[in-house]
Amino acid sequence: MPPPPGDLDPQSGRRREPNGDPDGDGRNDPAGDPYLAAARTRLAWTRTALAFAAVGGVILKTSVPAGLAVLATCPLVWAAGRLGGGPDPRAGAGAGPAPFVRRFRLITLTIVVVAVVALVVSVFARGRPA
Amino acid sequence: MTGPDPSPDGGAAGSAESGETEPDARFTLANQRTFLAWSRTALALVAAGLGIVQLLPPFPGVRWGRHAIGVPLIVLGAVTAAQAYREWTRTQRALRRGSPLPHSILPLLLAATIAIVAAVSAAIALISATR
Repeated sequence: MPPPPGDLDPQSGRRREPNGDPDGDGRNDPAGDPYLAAARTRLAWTRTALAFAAVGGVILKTSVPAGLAVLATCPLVWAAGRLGGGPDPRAGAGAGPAPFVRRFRLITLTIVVVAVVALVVSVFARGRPA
Repeated sequence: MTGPDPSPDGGAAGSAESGETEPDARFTLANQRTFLAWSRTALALVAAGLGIVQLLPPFPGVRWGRHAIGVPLIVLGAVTAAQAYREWTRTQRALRRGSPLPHSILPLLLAATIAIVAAVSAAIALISATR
């Protein structure tokens, strides 16, 4: 049965897929990740992991064990952003809850611990001599 | 008793009793990115404070100068991280209730502390130059 005329794309003349993607392969699917919200969030997690690496590098200059410990958190932070369980941007309002509370609590706790380590290092480690 | 759900993400999703519904996922993701951006700011403050204390040469005549600049930045980093988490939970709760977003004190806190640290840095540089 031919598709109804209303379902044809006026530019390509091809039939529109139900999700609005003219190719039907998902690449141009506006419902897949509208406004690239999920992609931007994944990148934000990656930048946060890089920030942990930068702090680890600074601490490494003065305290190797503490610096290595902070550097070890980088892949964990990066993985936290890659793990599933986040909200699906296709779902819209009324979707299920996003179990991010524990993850965010852990990130906050890690930063506070890193700050305490930095304080201890800055007070007790010998800085650059005159 | 139908008090507010302390959890911003779980518990009362879509609960008609509490009047809360899970917001659009894009809003949740935007709130998440804001939290991550503040977390990076906190980490940058910690790195800057540690770098000032450990990597800068000491100020001539002002032995405590590096600590006076660096330690407040590290403390501000820890406070920023904790406050970012608090504001993320409050914003998520407001989104779920459809109420106005809460006011953030982080920009004021950050600006005020950086201004004070800048003033202290200028004073230390002047004292150091005169000795």
